[in-house]
Amino acid sequence: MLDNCTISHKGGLVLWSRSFTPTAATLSRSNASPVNNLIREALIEGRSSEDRYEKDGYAVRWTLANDLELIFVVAYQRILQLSYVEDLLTAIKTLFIKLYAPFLTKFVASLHAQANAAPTEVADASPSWDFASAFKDWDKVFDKVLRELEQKANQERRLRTRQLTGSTALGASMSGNESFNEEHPERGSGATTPAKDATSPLDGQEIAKNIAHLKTRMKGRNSTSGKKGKGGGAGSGSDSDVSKRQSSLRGAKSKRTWGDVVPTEDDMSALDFSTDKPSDLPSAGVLDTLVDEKSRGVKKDGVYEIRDWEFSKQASREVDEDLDDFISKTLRETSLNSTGPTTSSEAQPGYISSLFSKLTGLAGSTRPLTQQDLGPVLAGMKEHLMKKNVARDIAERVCDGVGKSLEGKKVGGLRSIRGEVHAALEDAITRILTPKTSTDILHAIRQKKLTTMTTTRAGGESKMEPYSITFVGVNGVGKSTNLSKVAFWLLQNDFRVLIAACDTFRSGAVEQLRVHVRNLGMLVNKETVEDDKGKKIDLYEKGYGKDAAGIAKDAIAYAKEEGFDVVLIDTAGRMQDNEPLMRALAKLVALNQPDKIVFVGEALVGNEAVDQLTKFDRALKDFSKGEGKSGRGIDGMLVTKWDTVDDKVGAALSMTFVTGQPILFVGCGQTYTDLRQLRVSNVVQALLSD
Amino acid sequence: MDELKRVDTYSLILGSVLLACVLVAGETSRLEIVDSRRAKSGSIVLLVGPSDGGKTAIFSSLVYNHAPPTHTSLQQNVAFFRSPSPFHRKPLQVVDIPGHPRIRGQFTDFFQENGKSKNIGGVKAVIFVCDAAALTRNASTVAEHLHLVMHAISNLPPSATPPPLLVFANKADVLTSASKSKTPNTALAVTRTTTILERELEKRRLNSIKSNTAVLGELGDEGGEDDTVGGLDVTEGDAFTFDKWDGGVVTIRSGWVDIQRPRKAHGGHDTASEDDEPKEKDTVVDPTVPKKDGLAELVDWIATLR
Repeated sequence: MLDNCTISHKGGLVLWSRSFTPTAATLSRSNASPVNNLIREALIEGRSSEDRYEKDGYAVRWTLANDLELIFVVAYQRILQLSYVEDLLTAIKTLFIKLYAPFLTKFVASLHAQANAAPTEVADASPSWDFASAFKDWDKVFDKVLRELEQKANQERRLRTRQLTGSTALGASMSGNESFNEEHPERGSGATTPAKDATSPLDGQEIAKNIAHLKTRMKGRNSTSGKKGKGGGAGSGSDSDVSKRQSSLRGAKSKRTWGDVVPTEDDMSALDFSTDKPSDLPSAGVLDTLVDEKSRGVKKDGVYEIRDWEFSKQASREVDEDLDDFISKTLRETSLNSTGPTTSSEAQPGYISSLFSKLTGLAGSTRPLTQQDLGPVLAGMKEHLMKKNVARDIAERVCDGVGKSLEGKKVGGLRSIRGEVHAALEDAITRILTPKTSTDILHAIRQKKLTTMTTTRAGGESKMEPYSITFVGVNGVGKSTNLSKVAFWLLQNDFRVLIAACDTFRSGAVEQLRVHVRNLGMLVNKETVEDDKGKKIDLYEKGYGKDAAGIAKDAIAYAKEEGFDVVLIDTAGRMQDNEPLMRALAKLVALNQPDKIVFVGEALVGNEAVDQLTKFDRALKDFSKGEGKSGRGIDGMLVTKWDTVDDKVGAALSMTFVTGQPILFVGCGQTYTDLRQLRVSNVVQALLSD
Repeated sequence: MDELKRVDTYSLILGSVLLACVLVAGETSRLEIVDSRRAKSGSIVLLVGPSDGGKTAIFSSLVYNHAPPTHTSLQQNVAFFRSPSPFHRKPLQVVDIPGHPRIRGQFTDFFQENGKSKNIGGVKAVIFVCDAAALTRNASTVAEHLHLVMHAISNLPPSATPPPLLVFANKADVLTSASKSKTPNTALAVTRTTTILERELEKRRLNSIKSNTAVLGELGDEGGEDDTVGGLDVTEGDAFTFDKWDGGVVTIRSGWVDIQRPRKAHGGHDTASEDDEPKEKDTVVDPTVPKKDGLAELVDWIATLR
C-alpha cells in the first residue's frame, strides 16, 4: 500500500530508500519523484506547515529531524486512507536515530567540515561512508515496523467493520466482511510488504474464531483484559476451546515468524494495541508487561532518555529477538505517546559535547529547541507579520514552517532563541519572495520574437507572433492604469505595443485607454521619430457589450498583421466569486493562450489577498482546461498602490505565498514612470522592521 | 583552612578560565563556515548549477568516493577533498550549493563583501555543473543560471583574482550518440554544451546591451546603482564565446558520475531507487567495457589549479 519510503539528509543525499512497486521505483528515480516534488514545492517554498502534501495522485507525509538534518518521507497513493503512516514515521524516525546515532552524527559533521579539523578528518573518515553497508540492518527493522503497524491497522479496521455490522449472527458479519472487501479492493491486492501479504484469507473457521475472540475482548474490556498476560481472557466457558487452542498454538510455536505464515489469532491479539486509547488505559498489570525494566532508560531533569542501542549485540539470532523487543517497545511508546508530545525523541545524543553542554549550560545555551521554547517567540512573530498586513493564515503557516524547521535544532553560544527565530524567519520570507521563474519579460519578448522569426523565415513569411500579456484582477485595483505604465516601459525599450480594450463592460474603460494611448503616443513621438513601420502604440477596440475573448483574438491577429511586438490585453474587473464572469475570463485565456497572465492586486489588501488569488488561480485553471490542454493559472503579479502602505507590505508576501509566482512589477505612483521591480531584500527588511 | 581557601580560589580561577574558553569556542563554532572561509582563503571549490544537474552526486563521489542516490538539496554541503595535485598541500573545501531557483542565490555569499563574510579570494574555483543530456530542453534556464554565476565572477573587485570557471557537462554516459557506442561520448557532450550555452549567452548578452536604454528602477533603490545582470563582455566586438569572455578563464569538460545501478532484484524485494539522478533511459553500462572514471576530467582540472 505504501509506494515509497525514503530517509535522506537535507543536503540531498539519500541514506536509505525503498520502493514497493516497480512504477514507484522508476518514479522515485526520476526528476518528478514525490520526494523531489515535496522538497521543491513544500519545503523550499516554506509550506511545511501543512502536514500532508499531495501531488500527482500521491499523498506524501514527512517528518524532519532537525538536529541531524534528516528528512523522513513516506509516499502512498492518495486514494488510500492509511491510518498508520503517522505512527510509522514517528517510529522509523525514533528507531533510525537511536540505532544509527553515532554514524549519523559523524556523517552530518562531515558535511559541515570546518577548516581547523581538516586534514585528519579527510584521512580517517573517507572509507566508512558506504550507506548500503552502514544501514544493511535497517531493512529488517523497517520491515518489522511496517508489518506490525499494518497488522495493527488491519485489525483495527476489521474490528470497526465488525462493530458496524453489530454482534448479530455469523452470516451478517460474514457479509459485512465481504462488503468491506468490496469497499477496499486494494487491500487484498495492495501487498505492501514485499515478502508476503499480511492479511489472512477469511474462511469460515477463521471468522468464527475472530468472533469468539471479539467476544472475549468485549468482555475483557471493562475488567482487566489479560490479552498480553498468560491465558487471560479465558474467563467465559464458551471461549474455552478457543483459548485452549490458543495455548496449544503457543506451545507449538518455536519462534516468531513475521509475515511468512498466516498470522494466528495469537499474533493478532498480541499485536492489537487498539485498547491503548486514552479512553481505556490498560491496567497496571498490562503496563508492567509493556515496560522492560532492564532496558528502561533513565529519567533525568524531567527528560526521559531512552537507553542507547548497544551495537555489540548485533550479530546473532538473539539479537533478532532483542531487536524485536526494541522495535515493539518503540512502537508502543509511539502509540502511548501519540496523545502527547513524544518526549522520547528529544533524548540528547551523548556525544563528545556532553561535558561542553553541561558547562555551557551554565551560561544557558547549547540545547535543542523545544516547542515550548519556540511557542511564545513564534506567536510574537506571527503578530508582527499580521501587523505588517500579512494575511492571517499566511502568517500562521509561515511561522509554523519556521517552527518546524527549528524544533530540535541546537542553539549554541550566546544566541537567543529570538535571534534564531528571527534569522530563520528572514530566511523563509526571502525564500518565499525569491522568484523561481525568470522575471525578465524583455528577454522573454525578444526570445519569442527570435524563435517565431526563425521558424517563419523558412515559410517565407516574416511575420512573428506578438507577445501577449493579459491583466486580470478585481474591480478598481488599477489594471488599466498600470497597463499603461507597462506600455510606457515597453515603448522605452523600443517595442511596438498594441493595447486591446477587452473591458467591454465598464463605461469609460475604452475611453480611458484611448487617452492613455494618445498620451503615450505623444510621449514617444517626442523622443523618437516614427519609423517606417507605422505607429509605435495603438489601441484595438470594438466598443462595449461585445465578447472580450473574441476581441482579444482579433487584436492578436491584428498585431501579427501589423507587426506589433507586444499585445497588452486589458480585461474587465470582476469579483473572484462571480462564476459567470470568471468563466468568461477563462474562455479568453483558453482561446488566446497569452504568454503571461498577470494578476493585478492592491498592496492595501489584507486577508482578502489570499481569497482573491486562490479563487482567480483556481477558476482560471479549472475553466480554461480544454481537450488535451491543461488549464492556465496566474503567471505573475503586479502589486499596485504600493506608495500608500508605507512599510506594511504584507500583501506581497501573502500573494507570493499563495501562488508561488513572482511579483513582476510594483506600481507606486501616478505617472507613467512609477513602475518598479521588486527587490526582495527590501521587502524582507520592511516586513521584519519594527 | 588556608589550604582549603587556596584550593577554592584556584578552582574558581580555573573554572572561570574554562568557562571563558567554552564561550569563545561556542561562538566560533557557530560561525563555522563563515570563519573557515576566511581562515582558509583560496581553498574553496564551489559546485553550482541548476537542479538535477548532479552536483550532489559529484560532491559525494569526490568526498566519499561513491555516489548514493540523491534528491533536490535543501541546504549546502561542505566537505574536504584531497586533491591529487602536489601543489595542494591542504585539502580543498568543496561546497555543494543547492540549485533550486529559490535558494541558488546562496553562491553569491561567497563573492560578496558584506558585513559577515569578507571572503573574496576565498573561492579557488567555480564548477558549474549541468546536465548534458537535458540541456537541449532547458537551455535558457541553464544559461540564466550560468549568466548569474559569470556576472558574480566578473563583478569581483579588481583586487581579487577571478576564480577559474569550469563548465562541467555531466551525465555524458546517458547522452545518446550517433555512433551508438556504449562508451560515454564526452567529446560530443563538450561540443554540444559549448554551442548551446554560447548561443544562449549571446542572446542574453545582446538583451542586456539593448535593454540598457530603459531599465525599471527597483524599490528603495535610491542610489541609482545599476543592477542589470551583465558580465558577459567579450574582448572583441563579435559574438560571445567562452574563449573571449572578459571575466576570466572558462574551461569546458565533460564526464559522468559512477552511480549505483539498480541491483538485480534478488529475493522478495528489490532495493530500488539506487539511481542518483533522473534518467530518461537506464543505460546499464556494459561490464565488458573497461570501467573509466567519469570524474577523471574534473579531478584533473582541479589538480591544475594553483
